[in-house]
Amino acid sequence: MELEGKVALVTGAGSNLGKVYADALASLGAEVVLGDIDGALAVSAAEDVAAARRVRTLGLEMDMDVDEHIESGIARTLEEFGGIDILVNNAGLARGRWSLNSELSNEEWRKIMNVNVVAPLIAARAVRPSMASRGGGVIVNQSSMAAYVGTSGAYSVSKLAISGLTRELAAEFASDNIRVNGIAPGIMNGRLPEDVLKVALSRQLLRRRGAPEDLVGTLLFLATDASSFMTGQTLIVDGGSAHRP
Amino acid sequence: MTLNGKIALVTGAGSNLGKIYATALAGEGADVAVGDLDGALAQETAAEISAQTGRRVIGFEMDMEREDHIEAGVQATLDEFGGVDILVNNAGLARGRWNLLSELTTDEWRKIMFVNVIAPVIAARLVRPSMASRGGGVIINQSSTAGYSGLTGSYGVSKLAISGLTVALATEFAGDSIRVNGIAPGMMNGRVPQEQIDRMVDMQLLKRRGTPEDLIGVLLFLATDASSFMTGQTVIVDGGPSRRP
Repeated sequence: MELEGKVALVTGAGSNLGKVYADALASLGAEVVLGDIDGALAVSAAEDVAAARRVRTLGLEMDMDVDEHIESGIARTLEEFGGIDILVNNAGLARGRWSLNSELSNEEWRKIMNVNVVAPLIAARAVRPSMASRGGGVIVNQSSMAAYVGTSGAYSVSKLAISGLTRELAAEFASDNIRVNGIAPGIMNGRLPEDVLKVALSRQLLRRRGAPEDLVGTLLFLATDASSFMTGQTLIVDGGSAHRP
Repeated sequence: MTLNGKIALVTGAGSNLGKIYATALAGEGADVAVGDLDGALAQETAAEISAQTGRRVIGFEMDMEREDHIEAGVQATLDEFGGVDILVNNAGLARGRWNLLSELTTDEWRKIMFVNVIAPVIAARLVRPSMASRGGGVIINQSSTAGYSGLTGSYGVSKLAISGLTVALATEFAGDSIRVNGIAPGMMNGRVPQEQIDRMVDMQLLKRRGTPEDLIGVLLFLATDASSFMTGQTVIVDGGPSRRP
C-alpha cells in the first residue's frame, strides 16, 4: 500500500470531511492521528478508523485557537509514532456569522484569521523538522471554493489567505523536500439552510450535491507521489462553480 | 484497473508526453487511439503500446492544423472502437519561434492559435455526441506553465487561451456529463538548450527537471472518477514556478 510506514496528522478529524480524509489515508496504510476540538469525538473517530482499516491511530483534543493544543498535539504524534510525513490542515471555522464581513467584531476577525490561517502555519512550522529529518513530507491545506467565488465574507478572505499560505509555505519548505498543496472544495455535506444550498447548486456545472467522498481522490493524489512534481497549488473541486482559468 | 472498457483518443501521441499519456491510459485498461502529425510514428507507437499493455491500440496521421485530419481521426476512433470516452488534447506547437510575440508574422499567429486552441475545440465538438450517448466523458486539455509564469510569447498566450477554453467547454458540455479539465506542465523532456533548462530549474521550487512520468498521476486523476466532482480546472504541475494562489 502506497502510504504504508507513513504517519499522518489530520486536524478537525472528529467528524465529516476530516474523518473521511483520515480514513482515506489509513486505507492506503498510513498511521493516522486525528485532532479535533472535541477530544472525546476525536478518540471515537480514531477508534472507528483503526477498526475499519487495521492501522494504528490516535485521537487528540486539538482546539486550533489554542497554540499549546497545536504544539502538544504534534509533540504527542512524534512521541507515539516517531515522526510525521503528512499534515492535513483541515480544521477551520465556517458558516453562520463567519460569512459576515465588516459586521464581524474585531475579536471575531482575529479569531477566524487565527484559526483558519495562523493555526495551519503553526502546525506546518511544528511538523517541519520531523519531515525534514525523514527526507521530506507533504502538507495539504484546506481552502474553499468560497476563496475563488468570493461570497462568504470573512470566511472567503481567510480561505484565499490559506491559498496564499500554501504558495508561500511551498516556497519556504521546498528545500526540505516538503511539498505544500491545497484543496478548495465546494459545498459538500455541511449543514446548510435549503435556500443557501439551492443557490450554491445553481452555480455548479455538475448539478448534484458534493459528498466528502468526492474529495478522497484529490487528497490521495496530493498525499502520494502521484503529485511529486507539484507544489504551491490549490485544486478547486467544486462541481464547476469557480471559473478560474 | 479503473479504465477497463473505456476508449481514449490522445493527440500528438507518437512520442514524448503524448505517448506516455497513451501508455498510461492503456495501462489502466483503456483501448487507445494514437494521433500524430507523423502517421508512421503513430502506427509504430500504437503497436508498441499494444504489445506492452495488451490493449487494442490504433495509430493514424493527425495534423492538427487540418480540420479534415481531426474529423478523420475521430471517425477512425469511432469506427474501430464504437465510441470514445476520453479525449486528451495533447498536440500543440511549442518552442523556437513560438516563444516570440509581436515579431511573429500574422500568419504564424493564426497558425499557433489554430493548432493550440481551435483544433482542441474541433476535437471536443466531434467527440461530444459519442460521449453524450455513452452517459458522459472526460476531456483533458494540455495547457502549460507558460500560461501562468513568464508569459512572454505567443505560446504562453495560446496556453492561457486553452485554459480559458477548458472553463468554457466545461460550462457548455456539463449538461452531457462531460467533464473538461486541463494540465499545465512545467518544462519536461522537451529538447531545449541546457542554459534554458538551468534557468527553468532555477525558477522552480523543486530543484530537479520534470519528466513526462511526473504527469501520469495527474492525467489518471483527471481521467478517472477520482476527480468526478471537478470540472473547468487546470492543474499546474510545474515544480513550482507559477504563483497562482
